[in-house]
Amino acid sequence: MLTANRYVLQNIRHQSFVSLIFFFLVFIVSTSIFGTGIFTENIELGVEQSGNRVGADIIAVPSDYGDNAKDVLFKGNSCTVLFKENITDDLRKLNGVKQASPQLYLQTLALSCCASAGMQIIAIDPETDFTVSEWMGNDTVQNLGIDDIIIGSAGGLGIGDKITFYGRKLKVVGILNETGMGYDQSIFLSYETADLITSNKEYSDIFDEKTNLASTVLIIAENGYDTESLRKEISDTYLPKGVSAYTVGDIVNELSKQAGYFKTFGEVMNVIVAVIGAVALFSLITITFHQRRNRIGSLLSVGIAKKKIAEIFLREYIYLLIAGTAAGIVLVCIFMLPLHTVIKQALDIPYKFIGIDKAILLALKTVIVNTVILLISISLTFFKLIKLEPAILAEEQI
Amino acid sequence: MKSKISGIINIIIGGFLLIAVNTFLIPCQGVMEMPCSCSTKGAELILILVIIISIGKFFVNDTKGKFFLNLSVIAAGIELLFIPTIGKCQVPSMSCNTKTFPAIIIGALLLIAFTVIFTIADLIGGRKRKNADSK
Repeated sequence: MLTANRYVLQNIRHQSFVSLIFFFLVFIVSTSIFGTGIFTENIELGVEQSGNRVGADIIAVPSDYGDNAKDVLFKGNSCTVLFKENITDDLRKLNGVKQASPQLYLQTLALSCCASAGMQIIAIDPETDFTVSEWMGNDTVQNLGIDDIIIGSAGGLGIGDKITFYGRKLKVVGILNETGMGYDQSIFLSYETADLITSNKEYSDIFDEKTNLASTVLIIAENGYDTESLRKEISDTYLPKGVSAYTVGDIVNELSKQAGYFKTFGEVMNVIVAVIGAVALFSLITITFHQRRNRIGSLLSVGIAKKKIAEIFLREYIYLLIAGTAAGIVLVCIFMLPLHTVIKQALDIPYKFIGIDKAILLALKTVIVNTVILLISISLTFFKLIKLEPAILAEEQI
Repeated sequence: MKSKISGIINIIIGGFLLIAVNTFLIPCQGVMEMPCSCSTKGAELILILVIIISIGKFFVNDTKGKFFLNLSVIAAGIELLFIPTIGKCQVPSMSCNTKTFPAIIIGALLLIAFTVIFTIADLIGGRKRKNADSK
């Protein structure tokens, strides 16, 4: 027996070209809305969390390498940056400084075989650190022994794995949660281990056999103290020693602005794709309806209610809508999930996966947008169908 | 027809990946053998197998036979997903981690997705034909 469902599937099969075009239009709209949504929300989350969880109010960096130091922290570009002298203790004595923690950035050698840059090693002071502990938990950071390392989420190593850098066999004791910042591609070790590397004769041309070196000092201001005036004070006092200071708020604002550009671009693109998709679907549905007038007339003449006919056509479009939307969402997942780390490394901005729950919400949003587009496209056709007189159709057939 | 389209898609994906991992998406190449090269060789073998199975689809008309060939392609796709666990380089910015493995994983997911869709379509088509024959 020919059920309504079978009739719908037959329609899809017989008009395969029209069905394919319909499917393809929904697929493109879904890919665009879901893909740009995931991408821009990942960026937004990365920027938001790096601002909230970096923990510092001010960062002091060598003035000659200010941008490089900021890039290590927020963007993951690796480099070796050194202050002429470690000013952490001096900074702690300043009015308005509640906490100060130094970090040392060491870049491993570029791998001529297969990578344009080396890996970023960050030495932290476990006793004063407040940034890595924010992501990792105090226990692991404070128990960081000699040759122990914590690895960023994109490091590709497991706990207990060993890796050799600067002639030392380092053992992974912890894996950092995804931060979205440069930390994801970095290796963290204690100052104790870093001092053993920098004081090694073999690397005297880079570190001059010195210990207690620093690349940046992260500072928390006293509660209620104006961070901008503290930043100015640090910059003015320590400029002769080659120190520049930036408020984290300013850096995050700059990154938020960049994230905003991505979001605006994505939204404009989505609107354009949705409008073009809606116009194309509207035309397709209207043309198909005109082509099917005779068949509708036949169905009406054998006593099938208009409501039933409308339901059959709606079901046909709903099946194609579900298939197109599912294909779009699956394709975005197939490409964006394996490439997550690659995209993160390619972008000059924090990027963090929004999580399965938010991705599902975004998929629902895509379904809703597609449904609205379908309802708009189909409304005129259904209005015409309701107004249709079987007698006129019979006349047309004669 | 569906089986042939599925076979052609699999051959295109398998062939493209096979060419890619030997040309523009090559894994790391050092003086010593890198762990990722072994994994990539394994992936190449699986891809060759996928191409052979897909060619085989052109000559098999039996529904059960087609079903088992599709299952083998899906199994091969799943194996490809786990290829990086054989061995990969430890630095995230290295070629194998940024190019070769993501491409193999995307290819494997596409192989699985297309084959699952065509297998379901084949099964539905086969059942309809069976129903029609019994009538």
